Amino acid sequence: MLPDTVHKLPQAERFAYARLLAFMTRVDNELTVEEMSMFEQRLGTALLSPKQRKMIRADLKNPPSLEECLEDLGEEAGRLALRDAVLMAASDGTVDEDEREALEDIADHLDLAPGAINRLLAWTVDGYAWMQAGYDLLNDLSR
Amino acid sequence: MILLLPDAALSLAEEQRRKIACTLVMVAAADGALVREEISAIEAAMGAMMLHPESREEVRQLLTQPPELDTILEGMETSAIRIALRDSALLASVDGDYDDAELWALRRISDAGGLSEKELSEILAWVSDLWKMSASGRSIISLPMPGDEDIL
Repeated sequence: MLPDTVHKLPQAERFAYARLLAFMTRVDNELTVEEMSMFEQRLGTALLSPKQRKMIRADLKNPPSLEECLEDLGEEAGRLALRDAVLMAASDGTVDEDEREALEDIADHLDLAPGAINRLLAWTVDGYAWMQAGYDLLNDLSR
Repeated sequence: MILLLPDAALSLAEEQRRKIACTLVMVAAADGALVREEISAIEAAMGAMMLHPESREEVRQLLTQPPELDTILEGMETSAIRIALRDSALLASVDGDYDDAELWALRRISDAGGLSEKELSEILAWVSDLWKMSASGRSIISLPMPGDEDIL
C-alpha cells in the first residue's frame, strides 16, 4: 500500500486517470488476472463513484483511444497514471513492444525527461523484489 | 496502496478474502477515525483481491459500524490471517505512525496467526521499506510529498 496521492485529485482527474489505465489494459489485446487485479486495485484507490466505475468497466470492453484519454488528463493525474500504467503493464511479467510504445507516448505527452520509462521500470522491479520479500517473510514465519 | 505481484490472497476463497477486508476496516477504525487515505487503501485492497461486488458492499457497510476484531478472526485460516496482518500493517502506516490502538489490533491479529512479537516487528520493518519505495516512485514522476526528501 503506497502512501499515495491519487485519492486527493479532483474527481474528474481521478476518472481520467482510471480511463488511461483502462486503455493500458487493452494495449496488448489480452487482459491477464494479474493486470485485472492491479487495475481493480488502482480503481479502488481512485475512489470513483459507482457510475464512474461502471463507465470505466465499459471502457475495458471498448477502450478509448490514447488521444481521448490524454486530452482529459491534467499534469499531476497524468504523471500518476503513467507511473501506475508502468506497474500494470509489468504486472504479468513482461512489457511488450506495444505497451512500451504507449508508455513512451504518454511520457512524451507529459514532457517527462528522457529515460523516465526506464527509471519507472527499474523502480517497478525494485517494488516486485520488495513484495517478494514480504511473501518470503510470511512463508518463513509459517515454518 | 499498491501491491505488486499476483497477490497470494487471490488463491483464497471469497469468504476468507472478505474477512481480510473486514480486518482492514477494523484496523483502520481502531484509532477512532477513518481518514480518506484509509478508505482509499481498503478499496484498493478489495480491488487487488478482486472481491465480489456484493462482498465489497458488505465491507463498506462496516465502515460506519466497525466489527469486533475477534468476531472477524474467528473462522479465518492461518494463511488468511497472515495476509490480513501484512495488509493491516500496510494500511495502518498510510496515515503516518502506528498509534497504540492500531498496534493493539496488529498484535491481536499477529497472536491469532501464531506469530511472536519479534516476527511482528519484522513485518513492520518490511512495511517501512515501502515508504522509501513510494518516495522513490514519486521522485521519478516529480510529484514529491512533504517529507520525501528525508526518506530518500
